[in-house]
Formats: sequence, structure tokens, C-alpha cells
Amino acid sequence: MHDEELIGQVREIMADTFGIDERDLPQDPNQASFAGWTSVLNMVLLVALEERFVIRLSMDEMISMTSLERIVDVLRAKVAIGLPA
Amino acid sequence: MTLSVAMPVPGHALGNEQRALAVALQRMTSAVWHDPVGIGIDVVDVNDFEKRSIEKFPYFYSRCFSASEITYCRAQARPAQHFAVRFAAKEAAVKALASHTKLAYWQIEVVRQLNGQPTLALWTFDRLAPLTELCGLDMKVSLSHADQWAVALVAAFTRDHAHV
Repeated sequence: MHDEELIGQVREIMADTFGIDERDLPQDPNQASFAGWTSVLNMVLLVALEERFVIRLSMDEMISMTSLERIVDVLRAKVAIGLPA
Repeated sequence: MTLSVAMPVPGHALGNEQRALAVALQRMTSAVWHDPVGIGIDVVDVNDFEKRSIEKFPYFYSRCFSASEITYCRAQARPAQHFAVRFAAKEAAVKALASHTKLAYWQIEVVRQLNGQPTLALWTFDRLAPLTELCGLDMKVSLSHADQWAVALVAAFTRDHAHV
């Protein structure tokens, strides 16, 4: 899976979680700047990511996933993005 | 309004009910001022849980709530209110303890005592055993919910000051 595909999937899950159209998501949404990112929806998002990518996030990973960029960083490491087949 | 009850006006005697309330408030205030190692508060939109029922999002609920919490909330007339206020309590506890330890939501359980008073039980990360030692801290929790909003306040105390 390439980065673009991963980012696309995460944005799709974020839009679904926050109940908005994907086009209305900021370029790099983060907890500080996106008002809809509440504590409940943060957990909904993290759990949805766990389900979609069949992973289990650690506490440190969950705490660090405060923006699209950081989410992608964690997922890239978890699902070994970009490694040769 | 609360402070006007807790602080009697000179020359005006308090009734028994007012006196009891004033004493309770003074004790709470005293406890908080004595050794507030941590305080956390959180407010949750009940609609977030109305829109995500346990039937549609079972994994989310199993990651956030204990089996006992789920059983209790599902037995209520409006489960979303009860899930929401418990979620608020977990987030408030995380905030209250932020400078001491990191806890996941599933490690924090709201337990109702026989008199209905809520307390917090803490579990190990794998949820297999009670977390008996938390840096010598005890916690108190207060919950409230209305039609749309659920709120929880958690205060963490050193053990000597927890029993007020």
C-alpha cells in the first residue's frame, strides 16, 4: 500500500467518524485546529482504524495520533507501508 | 448560588438542610484545597452515543467499556446517556492522573456502590487484574447527565486526604 492510498483510507475513515464530507476535511486535520475532533470521536476514530487495518494500537501510539500526519506515521510503521513485496 | 449556601450570611441562621449542605461543601472544598494532585473534567455529547449504538459498533464499546458497564447501561431506558457519562468519567480520570500515569479508557471502570454512588475501579492494561497501587492515590468521581450533555468530574487525592 502506498502513502497516497493510506492517506486516502484514513481521510475516508476520518470523514465518516466526524460525519462530514471528505472534501470538507482540512488538508492536515489535527486535534488542536479541528473543532469536531472530540475525545469521543477520537476514540471512535482510533478504534475504526484498528478495525480497518486489523491492528492493535498501544497507549503511546494512541496518544501520539493527534493529526492526520501522525496517524499516517503510526500506521505506516504498523502495516509496513512501502516495503517491497 | 452554591457559595451563598456554603458561606452563611452574618446574622442569619442556617436551617438544618442548609447547614448539612454547607458542611458537605466545606468538606469537599477542604479536600480539594488540601492536596489536589489532579483534577479532571469532561463533557460529552450524548448524541455521539445515540448515533453509534452498541449494536452497530460493538468493537468500539468493547474497547471502551467493561462488560459490567455495558450490561448496566444497556439495561437503562436511554443507554446513550449512561455510556456518555461513563466515557466522560474515563476521560476526566485520564486528565486527573495525567501527570502521574497514563491510563487507557478500558482500564477505568465506573462502578456503582449499593447506595448508587459511583466510584472508579482501575484495571491493569490487559484488564485481567485490579490495579491496586496507583502511586498512593485515591479518586473521587461525580457524574451528571441531562438530555444532551453528560459531564464527569474526577479528583485524585493522596490517600490521607481521600476520606472526607
